[in-house]
Amino acid sequence: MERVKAITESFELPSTLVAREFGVGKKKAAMLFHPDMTDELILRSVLRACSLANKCSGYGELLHEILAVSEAEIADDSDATQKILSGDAIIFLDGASGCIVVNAKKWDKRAVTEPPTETVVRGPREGFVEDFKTNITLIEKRLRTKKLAVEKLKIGREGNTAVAVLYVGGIAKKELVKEVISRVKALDIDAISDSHYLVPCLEERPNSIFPQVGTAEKPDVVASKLLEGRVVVLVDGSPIALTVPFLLIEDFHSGEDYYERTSFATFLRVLRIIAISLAIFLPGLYVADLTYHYEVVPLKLLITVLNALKGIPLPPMWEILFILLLFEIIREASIRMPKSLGTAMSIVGALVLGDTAVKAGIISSPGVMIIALSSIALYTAPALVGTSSLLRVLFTLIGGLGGLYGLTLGVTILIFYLSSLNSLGAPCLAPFAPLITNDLKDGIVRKQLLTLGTRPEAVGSPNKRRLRWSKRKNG
Amino acid sequence: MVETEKRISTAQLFTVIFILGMGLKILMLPVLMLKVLGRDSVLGLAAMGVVELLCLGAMLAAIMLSPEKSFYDLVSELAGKIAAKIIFTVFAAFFFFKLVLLAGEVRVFFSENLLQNFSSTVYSIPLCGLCVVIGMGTLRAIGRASQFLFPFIAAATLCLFVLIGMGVDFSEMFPFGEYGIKSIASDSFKHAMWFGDYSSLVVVLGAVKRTKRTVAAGVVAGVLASLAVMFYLLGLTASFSNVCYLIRFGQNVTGMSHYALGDVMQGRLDVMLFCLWTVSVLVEAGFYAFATVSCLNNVLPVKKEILSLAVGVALFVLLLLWQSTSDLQAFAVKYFAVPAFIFQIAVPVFALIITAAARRRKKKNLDASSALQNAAASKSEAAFCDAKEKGAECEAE
Repeated sequence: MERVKAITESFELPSTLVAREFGVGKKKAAMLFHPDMTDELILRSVLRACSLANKCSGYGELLHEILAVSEAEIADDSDATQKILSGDAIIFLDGASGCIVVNAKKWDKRAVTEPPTETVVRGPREGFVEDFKTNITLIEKRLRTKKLAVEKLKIGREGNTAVAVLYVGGIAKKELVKEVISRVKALDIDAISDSHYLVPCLEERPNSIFPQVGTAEKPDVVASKLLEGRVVVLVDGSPIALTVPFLLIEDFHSGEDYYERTSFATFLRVLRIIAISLAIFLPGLYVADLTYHYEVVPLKLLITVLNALKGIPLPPMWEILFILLLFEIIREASIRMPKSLGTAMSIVGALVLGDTAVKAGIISSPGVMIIALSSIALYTAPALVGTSSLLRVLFTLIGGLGGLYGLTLGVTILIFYLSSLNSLGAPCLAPFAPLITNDLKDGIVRKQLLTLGTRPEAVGSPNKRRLRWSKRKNG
Repeated sequence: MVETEKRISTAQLFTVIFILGMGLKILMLPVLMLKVLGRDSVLGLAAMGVVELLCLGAMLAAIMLSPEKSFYDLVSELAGKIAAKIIFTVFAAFFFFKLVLLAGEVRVFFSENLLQNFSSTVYSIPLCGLCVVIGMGTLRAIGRASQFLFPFIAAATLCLFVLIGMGVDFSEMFPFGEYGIKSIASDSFKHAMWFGDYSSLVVVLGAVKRTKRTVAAGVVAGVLASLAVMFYLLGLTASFSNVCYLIRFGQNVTGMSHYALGDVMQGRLDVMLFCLWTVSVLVEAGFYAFATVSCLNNVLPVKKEILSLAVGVALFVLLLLWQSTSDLQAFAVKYFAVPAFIFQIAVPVFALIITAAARRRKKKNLDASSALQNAAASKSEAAFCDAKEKGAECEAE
């Protein structure tokens, strides 16, 4: 079998593949597969079916026999290598061109569980896993429409990773879909191990500290984003879906908002915005006020704080930066270290570094409190943790160096920067700047679901109407 | 043709006009005018305000008439490239001087009220940085930033006014007319540099998404800004008209802070409100930097980023040389009153004339092309008829 030999020898180590030769009637046949990626049981039953098919003379008849035991199809010779690397088994029949591809994939996959970054009290708990097919199925299960398009691409010269671009036809803007596909296709890389490899391709300013591509780990969230006219990118091996265009306000939204009462959902959104503002600006304001503007702090509070600061060797800015550094180290270590050491770590972090340092007079208790509050507040918008952490350090420095003057300037520059940021044509600060009155219904305030009749204008869906409802009169 | 993405909406124009009309004037002007004109400063400001609103009206008319082309393109089409370059150099110089004045006053605001131990050189660096960043940005980004910040600025302004309004005894602003009309006119005229902010709207010509409400929104923004300035001056006049000597030269908006919320016991929240309000002045400074860079960009074949950096450096050097803002203000009063007044009126009128002429030209061209099209259509119709007739004849034969 020339073809089997050619494929086997094209591998760096020919022993990587296994070839099983057998006879089908009077013809010779061979099955080629990757033993690490295939299911032995399926292969055995396929082989048995093939050996029993004595009267078969071509691929068509042989396929008929194989289909009784496994999923299979006829393909070109040129696809054979790629199919083997994807976990399929290939059957060649001597003297006939083409091959039969038998689906014999077998690899371990994680069960569908609730994602750790998007836990909810109410609402679906399914989360994406690393398996591509499972992830697509989870979305298709929610959007049972002919309009749901799943464009499959292969990215990576060596990795050949499967990438899917999902959109709902007629709802997603055609130009947007084209742009996303062309940007993904333009990536010439050896392999991608996660969807985040594609993020810079989809961003207009990849060096920005602000994300311009949304991420989601839950199929219900992704399905609703698709219905808003967004385009979703899934990558094989990654449990994180990318959504574009992405607006900054989405960082303050949670999938659960839509399962809660309107008033409570709005309250939570306001709370998240206040929390993130506190997380970013509180250390800077504290430093600015204690360095330059004592008059801003109420007298009694000022006296208490100054008493606590007595004997602290570091000026407020350096003290806060020091505590921030400690916190970031503890956070990074607690993520990386083995779980069994977690308790010991929190004791070391909280007691030794925190309590003892305060008692030793190296850092002050108000400083620790400010950073603790700011750090807790940081996690109310998990997608923004990286950005907020950097901004927090930046504004602490600005507050320490320029006081309220510096902070005012810093905020103005920050807002100007955000105003110039776009995500695939959609303004990141929408629906506030530019002001899109219609989208304000689901901005900070989340109006009642029945009033969210149109899709977000900022996304630019050609199909604007989403919902119509009229009260039925009984009797 | 101005790219669609670089255009600003009517709502954004509203916020830009409000910020332009209010920022620089509230920061220093009331104090400066009060010092020269006492209670009559209200009359002077009102007169200058009316002139300025008329200029805004002309500018808005120009915005409405302007075809979707930049003002530079219009001027160079009608007056030639060299004339356009000269005109835009003058524009750039004027906007830059406004920027210097504004930056100087911001420096005073913070140095006198918040950070007394800092040297003015240190203050200037971040401010110049802001001007560089906004200068190299787009009009759309400025529009969006003003729109985003507007609610905060408006809330801070409103809070300050409510608090001031509750504390001031407004009967103290009377009687008017102590200085006489001649004196009021001449002294107000001397402060012309603090007016004419709407002339910088030349950079938005052709870049506004016009609607039926554009003019109304612009006028409302201008009137609101003028009322805000007037209210502030009224409060200041009622508070200090009898004791003008208490306001030393250079003191600014925080002169009114004793009316505002907060004291040492509760914490001076008014400082925070003032800082929030100052964002409007910073946006205005950014807008002037952008206007300067945009004008220079038409004159010099240099990248916008480099021009913006050059403007920032030049601003820093001038602020370094002009360490005293009172000297800067005195310079503006002494040497820039006449040019500023002329500029304030001439630019909107010029913009109106140019845009009207461009519109007429466009209409003529359209008429001519449609006439040509009609002629061509009738010709082809005639030819078609001829062919048809010939065809019919052939068929008959």
